[in-house]
Order: sequence, then structure tokens, then C-alpha cells
Amino acid sequence: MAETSQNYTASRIGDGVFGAAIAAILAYLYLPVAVLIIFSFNDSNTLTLPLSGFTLKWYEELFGNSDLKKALFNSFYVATLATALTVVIGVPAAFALDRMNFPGKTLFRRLVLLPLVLPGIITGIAMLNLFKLMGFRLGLETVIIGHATALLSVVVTQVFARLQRLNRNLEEAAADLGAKPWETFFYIVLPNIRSAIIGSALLSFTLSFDEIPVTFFLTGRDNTLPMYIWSTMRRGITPEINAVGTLIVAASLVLIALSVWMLRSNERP
Amino acid sequence: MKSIIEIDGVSRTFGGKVVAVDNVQLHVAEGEFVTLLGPSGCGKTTLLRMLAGFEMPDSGSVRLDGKDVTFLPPYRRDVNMVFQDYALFPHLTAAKNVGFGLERQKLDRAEIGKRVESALQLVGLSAMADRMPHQLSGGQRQRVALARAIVRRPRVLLLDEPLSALDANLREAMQVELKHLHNKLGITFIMVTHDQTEALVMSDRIVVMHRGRIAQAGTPSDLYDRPASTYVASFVGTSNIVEGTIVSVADGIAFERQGLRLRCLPLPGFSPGQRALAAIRPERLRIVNAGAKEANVIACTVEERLFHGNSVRLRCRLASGEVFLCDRQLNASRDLGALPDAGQPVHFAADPDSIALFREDSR
Ligand SMILES: Nc1ncnc2c1ncn2[C@@H]1O[C@H](COP(=O)(O)OP(=O)(O)OP(=O)(O)O)[C@@H](O)[C@H]1O
Ligand SMILES: [Mg+2]
Repeated sequence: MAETSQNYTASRIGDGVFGAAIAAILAYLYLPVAVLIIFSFNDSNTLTLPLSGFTLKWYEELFGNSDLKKALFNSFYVATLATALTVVIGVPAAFALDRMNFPGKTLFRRLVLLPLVLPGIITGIAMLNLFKLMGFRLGLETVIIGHATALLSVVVTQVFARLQRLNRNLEEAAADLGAKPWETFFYIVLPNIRSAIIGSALLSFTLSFDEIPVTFFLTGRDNTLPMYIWSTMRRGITPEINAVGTLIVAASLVLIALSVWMLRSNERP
Repeated sequence: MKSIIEIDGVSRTFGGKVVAVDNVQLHVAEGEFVTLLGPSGCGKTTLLRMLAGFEMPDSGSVRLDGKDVTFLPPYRRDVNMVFQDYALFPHLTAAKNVGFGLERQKLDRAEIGKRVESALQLVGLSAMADRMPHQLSGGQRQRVALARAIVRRPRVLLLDEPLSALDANLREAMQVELKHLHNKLGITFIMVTHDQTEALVMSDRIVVMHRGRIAQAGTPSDLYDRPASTYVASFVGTSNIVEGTIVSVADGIAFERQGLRLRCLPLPGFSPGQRALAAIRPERLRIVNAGAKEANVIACTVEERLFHGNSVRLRCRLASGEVFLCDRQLNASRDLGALPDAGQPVHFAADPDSIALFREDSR
């Protein structure tokens, strides 16, 4: 589909224009990131051109800023546990949707997917009410629960879609060859849905990492990184923030490379 | 010989109304090659799946080597199956696919390696051991599936239309290979097919199924020469079926229909006035002259002459309107000219022993 429309455009307006369009799209996507990275190394307090020289001092300051480090740590903590929770709940839920027939199954599927389309503010307020009602103390743990709720559907949809495409004969073949149900799951089903689980977990992680609305309502005194950045914005964007941003971009690239590598090794003999 | 499989009164209904398998009774001797043959939807796969343990009967029992396995899960049964779509594990190499069943038996590595190697060798795929399934051709995948199923040395090998995904040439070669494999291994094969030629070529015994029931079970020549019903007569091989009435049972049976009178061999169970069906194999007809003083001369008009390479099929029409087929082998001189052309009249003679008579309700 993508290829034919691409060919169509290419033949219509020629390769030159097409190349320019590609460049424009890439610039549109990545110019802001490039600016962020460049200014994180720029030896000036303000975000103005021309550049005034190379420095690493913003990174030094960053490592001296204990509030920021705490926020960074909190974000990792929240994203890691929220992701773990979505996987632990989401994978069995996807199996239930794929394998079991129960009354109200369609409704169940819709309800599981709902939090993804619900605005974060609604999820945030709703969960805040619930936690208050149940007498929970707000903190990172309530944020984790909130994120897991909002992101559950990411894992469920991805894993469910993969399960639907998985040939059920494979499981029968495994049983036929003497595999007990748990062996069939670990040796046959899991390897074939592994990439969907890893992919959706990484996506959950990223989404949780920079989530603000739900976090805003559910966190107590603790700050996550996006909340911290947001709160310091009142004083304007500091080069220090650019340095954090650059580190996060670098970490994301490592994550992406890692997932690509894991999915590849999945396909190799 | 002792029975390795005893299927007794087995039925299976889906969703309370589709009777897929209906009171089937079948015993299979150790080492036999049995084919389940029938049109689409007649319950072949369902019966096979009940032997494998993927499906449980609603009633009746399945015994394997004397042991009741009716409700035993697949992983506790000493049978293995070759799936129609092969169901190779896409994330494992050919060798790992074959070794999967041995690993479940907790054999040691060296033993597994040895047996995988010899199974792959048996199907001629030693060189492909490290390929992934998607790197194999259809025929090669088929062989991996076969190796995977026999490497555990099951008592019974189940095959669900194992050759249906292959092209005609490969299919014929694999038919022969499967047959050799059966002889070499000496284990029981139960194969599903809806290809009657395949069934005739490969089986010791064919079980023809019709709407979940066994229509007839017997050796290929039994079924071909002594079909129990017109259903079997037209499903196994080709038959011309003519409807008519019995007019006399003295001195053989005389069968009559509009413009046609056939003398058949004596057969109990018929009486004058009864409606009946006569089945005649196309290759049993002889071409005779118009005025020939022979029994059972059948007059038709040739509509089409179909060249089949080593034989010619004449597609004719009886005066009463039905299609009537006649197959003639071509002789060494391959003389097509001696055969009547399209549009010409032709007379066939059918020897009394070439006509099978059935009561009308046998359909
Ligand atoms: N899981 C199922 N649920 C409902 N109906 C089923 C199921 N499996 C089979 N059937 C029905 O049972 C009947 C027999 O099916 P079966 O698959 O055994 O036929 P078959 O002889 O193998 O046909 P084919 O040659 O097309 O493979 C069919 O009418 C089919 O629709
Ligand atoms: Mg079938």
C-alpha cells in the first residue's frame, strides 16, 4: 500500500521534488531535537544564536542538581514498575480475549481499550477520587497504578493481535509431540509473541516515562522528570534541561537499538 | 493380526446440530495403511483428531493398543500427526523442529542429535537441518513435518491430507515415498484424503465416509470391484449410473429402462417390479457394431472425445438424455481413427459381470 502510493507520487512529481519532501518531513520531525542537542553543548545561558562555543558544564550542573537526579530516578522507577504491571496483567488479558469465550467478551475488549482513548485528565481525576475514597496515600505507587491502568490497552492490543495471527495448529502440533500445556506455552507460544510483548512494553515504558496529566493528579510530593521540567519552566528553559533532554534522546536510541536487536535475534536461526 | 486401534461407536456432534462423526466402528490392524476417503465435510478430519486427542467423542470409545485413550490428552498418546499445513514451528530450525518431540521425552542430547540426524536422512533432508521453515520449499517442509512425526517412533502415524499442498508431480513422487516409508517403518498409518486415486494407490484398506458414517471399508480392489452402494461406486473410480426397474429375476436379473434392457448376474434381494440402479465402469464397455448379436447393447451418441494421453474418454449421451462415459485404452499404434467422432452414433456392449446392481435406497 505504502509502496504503491509512494511510487505513484514519485512518478508524478519526480524524484527531485520527492527527495525534497522527504528532507522537509525529516527536518520537521528532527529539527527541534537537533536544536535541543546543539544547545545542550552551547556555552551560553540563553537560547540565542549565534552559538557561543562548546561546553560540558550543563551536564556537570545536571549531575550536581539533586532535585533533577531524584526526578530522573523517580521516572525510571515509575516507568519500570508500571511497565512490569501492564505486562503482568496485559498478557493474560490478551490470552483471555483470544482463547476464551465468555458472555460479554466484546464489551470486555472495548472496556480494556477505553483508557487509551480517555483523556489523561479524566483517568487522573477518576483515579484520584478512587484513591481518596479508599484512603490511599498519594505517592509514586499511586502513579504507577494510574499509568498501568492507562497503558494496559497498549499491551493488550499488541499481544492480542499477535495471538490472533498465531497458527493454532502449532499448539496442537506441540501437544501431539508430547508437550504438556506449560511446555507448549514456554517453548512455542511465548517465542512467537515475544516481539509483541517486548515492543508493547517498550512503548508503555516511553509513554509512562513522559506522562504528565495522570501523574499530576496522582503524585504526592514526589516529582517525575517531566513534572520537574515542567515546574522549572516558569524560570524559562535552561540549558540544563536541554542536557537532560539530550540524555533522554540518547537513552531512547539505546532502547530502540536494543529492541531491534532483540527482535532480530528472534528471527535468526 | 491384532488390532492397534479400536474405534467403537464413536460419535461427535458440533454445536448440538452438525453431526460430524456418526456412530463409527473401525478396527485397524497393527502395521496397516488405512485411508479415510470422502468428500469435503464428511468427518474425516474430525475422526482423525479424535485419534490424536484434539477432539473428544460425545459417545463411544477409542482404544490404542488395548488401552482406553478416549479422554487422554494428545501429549499422553503414542500417536503422532502430520498436519495438513504442516504446522512447523516458525521460530525453530528444521532440526529443532524434528528434535522437539524428543526433547519432551527428556532424552539426552547425543541421543536426540543422532535420532534427528537419521530422521532427516530418512526423508532426504540432511543438508537442510539448519534452515528455518520459511527458507524451505513446500515439499521440503512436508518432509520436515514427516520427520518430526516419525522421529518419536509412534505406534500410529496420522496424516491429514499430507500431500494436498504439493503440485501434481511432487505429489506422485511423495505417494511412492510415503508408501516406502510405511514398509520400512512397519508402523500403522492412517491417512485422510479426498483424492480417490491417492487412496487407491497407497492404502491396504480404504474407509469411504459419507456424512459422518462409514459407507464402506475394504481393500482398494474390493471397493473398486464390489462397491456396496452407488455412492461408493461413483466416489471410488467413475461409474455410469442408470436408473430402472427389475423386470425378471429368473435366469439372472433383467433390468429395464426406457429403450434399454440389461441382463445382469443373479443376485439375491431383488424382485420383479422393484426400482433399481445399475452401475457400469466406463472402462468395462466394449465398442460393437450396430447389429451385434450380444447381450446388453447400449446405443448412444458421442458428444465429445477427450484425449487422456494413454486413453480416450468418450462422453456420450443415451437416447433418454443421460451422460454415459466410455474409456478406451489406446493400443500400440495409438489409432484414434478407429474410435467414433463427436456427433456419431456408437454402440457399447456391457458383459453381465460388469454391471453392479443396487437397490434404489442404497444411494
Ligand atoms: N470445531 C468445529 N466446530 C463446528 N463444526 C465443526 C468443527 N469441526 C468440524 N465441524 C463440522 O463437522 C463436519 C465435518 O468436518 P471435518 O473437518 O471432519 O470434515 P472433513 O471430512 O475433514 O472435510 P475436508 O475434506 O473439507 O477437510 C463439517 O460439517 C464441519 O463444518
Ligand atoms: Mg479435513
